[in-house]
Order: sequence, then C-alpha cells, then structure tokens
Amino acid sequence: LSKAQSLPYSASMSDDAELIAAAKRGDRKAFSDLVVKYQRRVYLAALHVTGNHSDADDVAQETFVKAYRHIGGFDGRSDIFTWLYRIAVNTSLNHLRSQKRADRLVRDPDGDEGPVGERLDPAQRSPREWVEIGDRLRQVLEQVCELSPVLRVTLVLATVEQLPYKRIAEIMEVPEGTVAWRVNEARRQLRDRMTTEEQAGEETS
Amino acid sequence: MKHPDPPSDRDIQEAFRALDGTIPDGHLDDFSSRVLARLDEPEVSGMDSRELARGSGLSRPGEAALGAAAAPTEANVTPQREENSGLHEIKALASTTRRRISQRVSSEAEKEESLLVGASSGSFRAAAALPDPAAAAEPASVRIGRPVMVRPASEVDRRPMPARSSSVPFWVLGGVATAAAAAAVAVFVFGVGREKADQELASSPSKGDVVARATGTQEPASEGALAADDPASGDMKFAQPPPTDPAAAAPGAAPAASATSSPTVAVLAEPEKKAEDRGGDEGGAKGGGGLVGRSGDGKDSAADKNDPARERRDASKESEKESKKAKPQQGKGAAGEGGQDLNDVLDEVTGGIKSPAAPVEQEGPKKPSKKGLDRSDVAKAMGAVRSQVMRCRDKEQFEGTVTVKFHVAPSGAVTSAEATGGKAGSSTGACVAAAVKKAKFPPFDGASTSFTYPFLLAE
Repeated sequence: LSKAQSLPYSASMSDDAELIAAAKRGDRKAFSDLVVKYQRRVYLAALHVTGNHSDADDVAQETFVKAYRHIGGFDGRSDIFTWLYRIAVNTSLNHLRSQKRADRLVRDPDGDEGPVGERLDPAQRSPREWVEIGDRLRQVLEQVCELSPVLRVTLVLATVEQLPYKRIAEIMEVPEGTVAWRVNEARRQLRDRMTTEEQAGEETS
Repeated sequence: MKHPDPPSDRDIQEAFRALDGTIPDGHLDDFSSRVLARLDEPEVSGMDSRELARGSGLSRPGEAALGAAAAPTEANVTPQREENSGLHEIKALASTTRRRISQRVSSEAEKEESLLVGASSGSFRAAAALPDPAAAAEPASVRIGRPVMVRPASEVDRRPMPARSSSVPFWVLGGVATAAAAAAVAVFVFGVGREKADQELASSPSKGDVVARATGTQEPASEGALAADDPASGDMKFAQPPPTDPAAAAPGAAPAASATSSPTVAVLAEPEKKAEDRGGDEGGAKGGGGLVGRSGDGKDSAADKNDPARERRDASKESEKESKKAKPQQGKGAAGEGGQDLNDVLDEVTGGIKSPAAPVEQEGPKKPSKKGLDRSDVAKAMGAVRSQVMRCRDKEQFEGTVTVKFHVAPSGAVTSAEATGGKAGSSTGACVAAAVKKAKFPPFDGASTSFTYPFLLAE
C-alpha cells in the first residue's frame, strides 16, 4: 500500500482543525498545507474514478478549488478527508458525466435520439501505462472502468479504499442498503462481462 | 490471455494499486501551487459555480436517498454574471448544451444513472456547500442554489418545463372529470332509453325478444354496451364516430362503425322509428337479419298482418337478407350481426349515439420492454467481441486506438461497421470492423442506431 493509503482514515484530525480554522480566515498558506497533505489521496481518489491521470489531475485540482471556496461551510463534524473525498467523488462523477455526454459519447449528428455507447476510460491510457499495469490487471481495470460511474465509484470505495458501507453511504449520501446493492451489482456485472467474454472467446476459437 | 474467474476484491485492489503506480514522477510536486493558482482565476470560479449549479439542480437529496424518481429541475439561476467575458458565456453554453443532449437520452439505464449522478451532485451540494445552512459562511460572490452564472436563453426557456409537467395532472383530472360526466350522461340516457325500451317491451313482447336475444347472444354487442358506459369513452364529442373512415377506428369499434353505414341498418332504422311512432309493437319484424327474424317468428299478432307497414317490412327483410348475403362479413358471423342489432336498439333509445371506440383497444400492441440500447448493452456487446478485436492487434501487429462506427438494427444485429479516423481503410480497421460486425445486441424498439466505439489495441 502506498504511504497515503496506509494512513488511518481519520488521521490527523486535530492537526487539521487549526489549518481549517486558518483557511477559513483566508490564510492561503494554511490551505496550501491542507492541499499538500491530502493531494495524493484526493488525486488517487480521482484517479480511481476517472481512470486516467489527465482527468484525475483536473478533478483533484477542482476538488481543492471547491473546498477552498466553500470551506466556510465545513463545520468540522466530519473528517476533513471525508469532506474532501465527497467533493472529489462527486466532482469525478460530474466530470465523467459531462465527458460522457460531450466527448466520450460519440454519436452521429443525424442519428436518432437515444442512449449511445461510451468510449471507455481505458482508451484514455497510454500504451505505456498498460504495459506497466500488466495484462491481467489491465483486464480487471478495463472491466471495472466499463461499469457505470456510480457503480464503479461504489466498488472502488468498497474494495480499493476498503471503506465500510456506512462511510460510503455518508460519502455518496445514499442508504447503506443502496451501497450494498451497488457493490453486488458491480460484481455481478463484472462476472457477467467475464462470462460473456469467455463465451465469445470460446466460440471464435 | 483470459482471466478465468471474475476479478476478486484482491484483483481489483492490485489493479488499482498498479494504476496508482503509474503516476508520473514529480507529477504532484507542484500540485498545490497549481491549485493555488486556480484559486485566483475568475474563470475557475465561474466553472465552479456552474458545477455547483448542476449539483444543486439535478436532484433533491432526500428523494435520491429514498430512491424516488427525482425529477430533474434546473437550478435556481439568476441572470447575474460574475464576469462579462464572451469566453465565459461560450463555455456556459457548451456546458448547457451537453446537458441538453444528455436529457434527450431516455433509456432506463440512463434514467437511473442520471438519478444516481444527480443524487451524487446533490450530495455534493450538501457536503461541499451546505452541511449546515445556518452555519454556512459562503463567499459573498457564490450562493449555492442561486449561482452566479450566465445561462443561454434556450436553457432558461426550458425552466418552465416543471410547470408544464405540473399542468399535466390538471388536464388529466379535467379529462377524467369530463369523461365521468359524459359517462354519467350516457348512463342516464341509456337508462332512460332502457326505461323507454322496457315500456315498449311491456307493450311489445316481440321487441323484448329482440333485445333479449341480441344482448344474450352477442359478445361484441356487450362490448359495445360496455364501451358506451366506459367513462373514458363517454365523451359526447366522440359519441358520433366519423363516418368517413371506419378503418381508422379501433378494431373493436369496426363492427359498430360498419353497422352505421351498412345497408342492413339503413333498412332497419326506418321501420323501427315507425314502430316507435306507432307505439312500438313491431320490434320482432323490424330487427332484420336471422336473429331478429327468428324473434319475430310466430309472434306476429294478427293485427300485424293487416298492418300496411308490414309489407314494407317484409320487403325490407327480404332485401336485407339479400344484402347480408352480398355484404362481406365484418364481424364474426352471427355475433357480428347480433352486435349490430343491439347497437341499433341502443341507437334508437339513445338518439343515434354510437358507441365510441373502446380506448382499451386503441392502446395498440404492447411496447417492447427495451426502448433502446444503453451503455451497458454496448459495453457488453463490445466486450463479447473484444477477444476478436485483440486478435486483429496480433494479426496486424498494431498498437493504438481503432475507432469503429457501426449501425445496430432494432433486431440487435450490426448492419454495418467501418473503421473511422486514422485507421479508416486500413487492414487493421477492416479487421476490427469485421469483428464488431459480429457483435450481437439485444433487440430494441425504435430505429436503427449508430455508435462510434474506440478500441485500444495494446498489450
């Protein structure tokens, strides 16, 4: 595990309180310290959702910009990282959604209205990234990225971030049961995709 | 290389850890400075507001949490603008255009996703901006829920949509009320007519026999009677079916419509009226057709035999029989004829009001369950042919992206596929396109749909 992710989820809350208070007073240095402290975790969260570094960088920056602009509304009842994480996740979802509509959903201008396919995130990665990741892991990543953004985020939070359902429910503001359903649904879809691909491979071979 | 089992949690963790390891060295070194630089950019603020507006407008968190269908409503947008640059406005237009495009998407999966994403956006609003409205100390330039931004007029014009939606129940209620009133009138008229008919029956056993036989033997007739009582079809505006185009009526209404213009009815109508004028004891004879003819057998009084109208009726009956023989059967044999008879009786007592087409029968065939293809369908179909696509990589020794444009027919078959972009016309593109053409989609309702899908051919 990376250093950032090996940290306890609510670490350094007391240290953060001073930085947050200073940032609320307009102290940019304090806010910069918060950015430095959480940038990697926020960046990784964005990377896990968006699936590529370019989008992750945009989302992470936007997350902190939003946090700065609205830090006055942060009442400290939750962990600062939880708050940042929520912003990051929702910004990522909106980012994916807007990209899906505008860029990744390539549709004929004269076509009928209706749902269209999505250019999946794996296509965003460079071949070098794929080589580094490896074939089997690439396949796993590809399949996870083929999930809908919401299912993908929920699965990532549950499996990669290993957050409890309760915490995921707080982040995504849905009931715990919904979180559980989404995780199961994501796994089911992964299983179906794997089965479909296996069958297709057997038929062609 | 295939992974035989679905990825386990550990597989997923390893994959994402590997992804984490692809962060370029030093990529985050100047991250904080980049963030701080963006804090001063007014354009960033505008984008931020737009993002927040989207978040605040897409859903109501409570409804989203309950899984209710949160109707997307536009954010409360004030026509203020934080900056006056044209670039800002163009970006706002582009953003709203994306949403307009997205709101045309109408599959179940897309709806679900929109709701879910909307819920997330709503949660962002609550999380990032309004954890405690009373305690919120937002910057003066940004108000959540009333973001400072510019929206194009086209989008502003869409905002009354909820009002239009809210007016729908009014019209529905109005229609229901009208239909109910019409039904009540129809029932009343029908009841009066029945009373009248009963009175006539009391004095005319032959006619009573006609009604009894017609009602008791004819399913279509019963349906017609029910249709007359149907509140939804009781609107008097539609009580007179258009005589010009019987085919345009619903299938169930065809017998009634045809009865209106059939020579049988034309022959029957006049004697019936005359019978009414006389006090109505001629029903058995006037009914016409085999059914009515049977009802009259052996029940004609002696007075009838001396009735000068009897001769005309007999002549009518004969001509009617001939015309029925010549006329194509529009109903189902005797049932259809009986239905016409009952309709005639009803017409007599209701003043010629015909039963409108039964709305249930106008609904048409059931719609297919799938209205279109959604992303999961595309992903599944493309996933199924991915192994074939990857063989193109091995065969062509090519690594990169190949974009394929293909059309999917409502049957689910790919009707055409061709590579676009840089690999258009190449052997690699043709190979990938051929693989895509083998993809199978689930059947859906609607027109053929085209997609463009990129495949990354890489190790």
